[in-house]
Amino acid sequence: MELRTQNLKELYEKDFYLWVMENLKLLKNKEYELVDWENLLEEIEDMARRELRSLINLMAVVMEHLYKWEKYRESAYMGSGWKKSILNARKELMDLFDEMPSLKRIAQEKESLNKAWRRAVNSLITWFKEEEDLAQKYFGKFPTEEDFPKECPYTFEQIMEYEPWIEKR
Amino acid sequence: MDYSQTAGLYLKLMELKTQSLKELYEKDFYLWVLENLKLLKNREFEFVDWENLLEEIEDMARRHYESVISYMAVIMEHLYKWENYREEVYMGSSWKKSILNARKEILKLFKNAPSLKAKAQEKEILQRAWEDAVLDLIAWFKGNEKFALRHFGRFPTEKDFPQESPYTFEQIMEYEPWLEEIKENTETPQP
Repeated sequence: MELRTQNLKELYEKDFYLWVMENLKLLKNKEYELVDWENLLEEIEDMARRELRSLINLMAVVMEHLYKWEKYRESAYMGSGWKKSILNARKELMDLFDEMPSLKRIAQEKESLNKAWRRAVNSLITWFKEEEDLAQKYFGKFPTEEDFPKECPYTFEQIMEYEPWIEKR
Repeated sequence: MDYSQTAGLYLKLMELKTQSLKELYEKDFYLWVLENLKLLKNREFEFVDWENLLEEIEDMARRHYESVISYMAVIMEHLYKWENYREEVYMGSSWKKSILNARKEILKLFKNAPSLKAKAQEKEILQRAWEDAVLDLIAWFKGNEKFALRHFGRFPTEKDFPQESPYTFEQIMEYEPWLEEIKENTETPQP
């Protein structure tokens, strides 16, 4: 028995497809003691983690572009792509909350907001790498993490609803 | 309460718990995963929503071979284009790139899961890939009206392409029509 589970564990590294099928067969036969639980629980947890990751990614997209709009929009013709990114990410967030209302609570936690903000800052840093003129103008160099707020400057409500393009008018 | 009543109540509660977990699958997938995970960790197997969980686990495997199918479809589409619709020597360099890239991705998938290689050779899988390739070809002609008119006199439909996959698994993985051409061009007539 132990040997079989051991083999199954090795299979996880060697042949993921076969590993899934083997575990599936064991579960269907209720042979729970033979299942490679260590890896299977990890994989199941990953299903949840993936959803969490999309949540953080989408919030980061909104934050990045809200921040760009507020700080680096230099003329009326700039920012239509940013606005589109914000609106699109918000729609996807709403779809996500629709499917998984519990994510809405998690999204409002300080930890989630800060995680998303750190990701947004990374995107901003990368963006300035390609926008040398703007980097020079605002920072006199390429900005690093220290050039942006450490804590997330947006609330959950702002992420979902703030429309800087309306207030400016 | 005597034993049978207690047991009955327990069964009822169990049923309720599993029932609400099944409903949670529709209402809140994230929470559903976490709840099942908790039950599995505590080895409370009788409460797990097996119906949906087995489906989800099967999906992990399915996703892998679905990727193989979609890469095979990319290769078939472009092999077919190269063989049938390449009109000039300067055409097709992006087709070649698509073929080579998809082959590379398939090899990566086989590396992680060698059993997929056997799966990919099943007739059903080849056929599904070919059907996807035909849809891609039809869509391609929609965007290339001139080609469509020249080859079909109209926009082609599924009926204008072979029903069965014209390629074997070996051809999908190895056939390099551009080499044939080089051979043709460099072959010197035999004395």
